[in-house]
Amino acid sequence: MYKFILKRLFMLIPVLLGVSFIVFTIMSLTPGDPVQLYLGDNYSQEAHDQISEELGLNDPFLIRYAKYVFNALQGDLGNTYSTKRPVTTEIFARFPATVRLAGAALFFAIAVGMPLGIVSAVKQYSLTDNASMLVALLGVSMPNFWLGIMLILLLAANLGIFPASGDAGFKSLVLPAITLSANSLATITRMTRSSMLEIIRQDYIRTARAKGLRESVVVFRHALRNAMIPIITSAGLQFGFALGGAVLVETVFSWPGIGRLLVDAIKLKDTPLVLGLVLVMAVSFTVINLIIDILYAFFDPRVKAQYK
Amino acid sequence: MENLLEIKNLTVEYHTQGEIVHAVNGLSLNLRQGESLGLVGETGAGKTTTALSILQLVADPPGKIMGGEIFFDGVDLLKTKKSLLRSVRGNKISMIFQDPMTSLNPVYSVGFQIAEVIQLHENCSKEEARRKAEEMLEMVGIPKERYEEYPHQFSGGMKQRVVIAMSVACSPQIILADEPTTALDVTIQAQVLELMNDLKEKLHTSLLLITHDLGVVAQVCDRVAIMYSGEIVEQGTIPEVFDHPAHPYTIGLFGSIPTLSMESTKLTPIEGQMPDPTELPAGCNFSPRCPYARAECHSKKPGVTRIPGEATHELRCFALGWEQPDETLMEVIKRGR
Amino acid sequence: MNFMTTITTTTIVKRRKKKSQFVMVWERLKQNRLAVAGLVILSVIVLAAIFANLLFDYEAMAVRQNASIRLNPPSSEHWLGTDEVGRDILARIVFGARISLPVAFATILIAAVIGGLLGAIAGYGSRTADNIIMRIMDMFLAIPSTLLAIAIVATLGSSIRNLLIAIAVSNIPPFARIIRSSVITIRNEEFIEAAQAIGANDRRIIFKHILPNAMAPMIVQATMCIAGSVLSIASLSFLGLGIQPPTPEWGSMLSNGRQYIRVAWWVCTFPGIAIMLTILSLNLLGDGLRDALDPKLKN
Repeated sequence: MYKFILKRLFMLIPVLLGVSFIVFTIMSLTPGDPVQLYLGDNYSQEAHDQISEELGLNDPFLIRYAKYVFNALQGDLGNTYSTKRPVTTEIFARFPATVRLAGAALFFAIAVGMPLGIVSAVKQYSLTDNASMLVALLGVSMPNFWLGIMLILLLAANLGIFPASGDAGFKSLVLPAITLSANSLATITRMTRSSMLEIIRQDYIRTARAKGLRESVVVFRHALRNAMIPIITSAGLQFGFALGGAVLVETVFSWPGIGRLLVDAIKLKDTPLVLGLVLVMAVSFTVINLIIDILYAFFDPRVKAQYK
Repeated sequence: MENLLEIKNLTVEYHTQGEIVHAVNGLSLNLRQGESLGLVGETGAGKTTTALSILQLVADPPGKIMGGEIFFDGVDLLKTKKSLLRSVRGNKISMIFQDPMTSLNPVYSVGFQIAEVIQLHENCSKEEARRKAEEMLEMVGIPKERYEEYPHQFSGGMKQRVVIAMSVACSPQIILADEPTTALDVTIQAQVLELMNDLKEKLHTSLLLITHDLGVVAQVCDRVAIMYSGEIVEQGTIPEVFDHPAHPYTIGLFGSIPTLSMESTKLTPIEGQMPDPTELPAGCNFSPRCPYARAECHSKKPGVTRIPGEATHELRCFALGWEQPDETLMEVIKRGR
Repeated sequence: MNFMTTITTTTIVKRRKKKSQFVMVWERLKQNRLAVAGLVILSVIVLAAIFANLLFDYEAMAVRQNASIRLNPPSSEHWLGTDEVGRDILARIVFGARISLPVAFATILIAAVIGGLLGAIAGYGSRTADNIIMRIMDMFLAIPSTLLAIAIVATLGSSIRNLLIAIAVSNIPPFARIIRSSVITIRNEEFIEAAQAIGANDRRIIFKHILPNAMAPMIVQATMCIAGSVLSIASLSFLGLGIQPPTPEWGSMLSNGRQYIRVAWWVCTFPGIAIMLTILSLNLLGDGLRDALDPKLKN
């Protein structure tokens, strides 16, 4: 098991290199002169040449990339153009807020979506099933930034129950978290239902019933654990969507996370910051997927056997 | 001997996409204390559905038990409370399923799956249940050291041993075995059958053995019931049915099996196919394939009659009551096998 | 008596009339009420987009600013109200469909063609090609697709063309994966061997035999991806990275109307419903198509 985790961690290296290469390539396609952006109003030809040299912009592309990776490995992602502070400092000042938001959203999505999916599967075609499938369908189709605006309209602007923006304690987390979780909740509900429906028809579930076990034991002990793999797989993918969605939701709720930082960085054409942010998000997504892969072994001994 | 299990007029249907599949049609069957009854029939005859109905394990939807009574210990299982039914399942009546590859839960150790049923019905501690589960493993010939192993680490035959250990763990009064050897290699089949026979002797359990293998029935059972299109068409003791099969379907069955004493070199299969269970014939279900069928057979359902001169031999056929008997059929019945 | 003999079992064979694949899929789809609902909603949106010019005067209602009627609530004249500069919201939604649907369709067409080709090469070609292509696809998949699209638009600058490129690129990997796996499944079927045996070349085999057979999963994936693309277009425009004002686009309508929600609820509500209905109808249709194309998968 440990060997497997080490192996997977080792395999992360080429993926991360690839991801950083893709992002670095995209970023270096930016039209316009980065030095001009860096200097802003203090532009002069000497300053331009000096900064170009300092930033290594005169080097060939691959050398620049190699330098970037080399520095990144030492935790240095360069300085931002706008504040001239280290990119890592800027990112990690905002990272906790996003982790809190995405964590709360995913927790909510799993805590509500899984039970709803289980009930829908166990009582297929019942009122609960039809109702929750309808809500899930709407939830999958709903743009989260619109849902956020609607929630602000109803619960913040009209009723004043929750604050409409900012990060000031638990109450201000509620609306953004619900907004960000809507799509994931709907997807997890649907996935749980279809996965459970498939498992519930298996022979070993009939065996469990034939033993005389209570239906609740059959469902939770015998069926759910088998249904977990597709469920956690989709939860992992949802984390990726949540990161993308966070960009929008943080904008709607003025949440001080890395999503909004990204939008601001893009508007200021702050390439090193954008590069750093996309890299950090992609790395988090990759790490989450690794954790999901390890979780498989926890739920299924057959997978565990393969991991040896 | 008293009847331990009495099925009366059981009717089960499957409702799918506007069609109704008539799987079991007014089936009646008795199982006595300590006896082994073979339930024989083709794929799709309704054998498995019958067994599943006893423990109400028919998948609903699409399956529905439409009518009938199933008495066990004087209680109608079809009408009793859920909690009582649960205390019967796995405890007084247990079931062995056809495919050992899929009937064990892949995510729990085999030991746990046996201990689970023991702990449930015997009200004992975890340690006690584990000790007993280990005993059961040893009893079916699996070293108890393999308690913690998972189903994917076992072969098909070994898995069926685990399933058998699970089903006898609470010393049930009845075991329903649904084609327990069909999915296994021939050599393993013999071992599993022997194991079941031994356990049955040791525990004085009644056995309802579902199979399409007449050889297995002759080897294991005291009585046999032949099933066709959701009905019992003939039943009796092994000598009664095997030596003098009387229903044209049963005769056909034996005709399609090679025997050592057979003189002819050609097997005679039964012509045609089982009727579409969504559109059963108006008369006897076997009439479309029956070489002896007369007008009456195509319009009316035959009742159950006892064969004169035999103690328990019953069949569902008009032919024995005809005033002008079919000479060929009578000849075949008299000659026996 | 001879032991261990078995009865020759017979099975119930139901004969059904043979129908063409297309007719069968259509008939199964018709049975699915949700899929039909999706098809109806989508048709209404598409028809409205096609005949938008007959319904509304683009210049007068969707673009020209008219301060005298700014932020008017829904009325008989302006069914869904007017926005902050006095433009008719319904007209802008209908003209918005003229942007979202074609762009979404085009992005997926590009993604499907490129992804399909890459997938076909990976699945049918050498091991090395397969490894290289799929590892690159894996790397793209490691970046959440919205994020990838944002990054691309951020560098290329916001215009319809760049939006198209961004969303198309972020949709290539799933198509490549799907086609690769169906190609690998189909490649090992006997009829491909037969085609090889009669001397068909690789290109012919790919285009004549493999791609048509890989169409089913491709169509389902495409339907779902168009839905995702509609969302991406709206999302990017909402962030100010997609379609630029004053062109009517659902996401940018939401973005502009946001600051007025306290005084005019209709400004944001209706464009959002338009996005939701479009995505919902595509999802319903996609679900229905998946079930109709492969009844085994249906539960």
